[in-house]
Amino acid sequence: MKLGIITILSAIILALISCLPAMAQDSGNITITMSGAMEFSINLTPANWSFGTVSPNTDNKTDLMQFNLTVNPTSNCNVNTFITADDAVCVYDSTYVWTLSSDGNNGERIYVLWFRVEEYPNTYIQITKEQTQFRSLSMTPTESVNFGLKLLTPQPDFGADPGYFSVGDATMQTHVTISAVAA
Amino acid sequence: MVPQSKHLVYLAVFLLIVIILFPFPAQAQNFSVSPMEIKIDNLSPGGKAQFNLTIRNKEDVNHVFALTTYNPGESERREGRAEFPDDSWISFSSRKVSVEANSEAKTKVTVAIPANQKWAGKDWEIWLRVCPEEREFLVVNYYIRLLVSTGGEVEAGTNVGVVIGILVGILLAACVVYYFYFRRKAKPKHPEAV
Repeated sequence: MKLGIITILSAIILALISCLPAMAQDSGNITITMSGAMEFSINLTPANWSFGTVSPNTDNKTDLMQFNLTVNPTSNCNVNTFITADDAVCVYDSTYVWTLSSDGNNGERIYVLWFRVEEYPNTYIQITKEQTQFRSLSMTPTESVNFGLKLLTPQPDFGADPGYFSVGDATMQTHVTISAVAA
Repeated sequence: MVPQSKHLVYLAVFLLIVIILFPFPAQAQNFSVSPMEIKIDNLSPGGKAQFNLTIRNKEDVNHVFALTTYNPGESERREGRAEFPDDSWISFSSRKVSVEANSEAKTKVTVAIPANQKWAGKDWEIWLRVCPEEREFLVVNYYIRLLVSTGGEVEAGTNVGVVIGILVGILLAACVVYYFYFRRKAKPKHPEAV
């Protein structure tokens, strides 16, 4: 009887010893390192802006200091910044869209957007739907930059249906997105 | 007494006018995310890793944030990092996170690499994008760098079931041996017929 119990226990212990490496494999040595646990934020002001009433095929510039981007002082690393924009959609009729130009040329229902930063006031850089670097160098915590925008409105669409440039009162809305990532 | 209260009224009116004439400029979605960068090392194919992202809403109104992945171009990635092969290997506990005013919310991110030897020993990079659902003219997006390095061996998967199965099998075999060998040996022989 005793011999039987000892045999069973020995078999279980042997099996456990042989299985231990297999069980240990599940818990591996994965290392997860997280950086910048404190904060990561930028401030953009003002949030809203209107170019006002615009005419077809005309340049509309904001002041160079119109917008400001500041890296939050509590951010604990440098950040790289990017800029993109969307198509402009009519607030009252979502079927009426101005497509954002990808080549810098406007057209019927194609508009162009540029930005310039205060360091290079005479250099406008085009904004497209693809991410473009906003600052060529990374920004340090507390660093601030002023920037302005330029809008080239589409060619007149008087003959189109609907041709909002002919009837007026179309409010177009778009978004300019500034993205940040740890440098 | 009366002139003093008059002065207080004038002061209040003056302050009111100043506030109306010089409004504070509104910020584009004031929120922050942490951490900025996550590095996962030695994640074997077949294995998975989990971590939390924290979104802090610093405004006085509730906001909803969308979480997605983004594959950066080669020039934007860290040196030596390749494009992450399949963004479906990354999952969020929730794709949309609602954060109450002046508070924070966490969301769990899981990275699971398929069990295939071809994914062993790789260094990848992908970005996790956090963007607000309600957008004004100027929008802020944050990217969190996710750096994943895989280990050299394919993980065998969950072995607990196999181990339990082996143990049960051994136990059964031992019982059978015990019953047929020891018990039968110990049984008294039938008395011989008279």
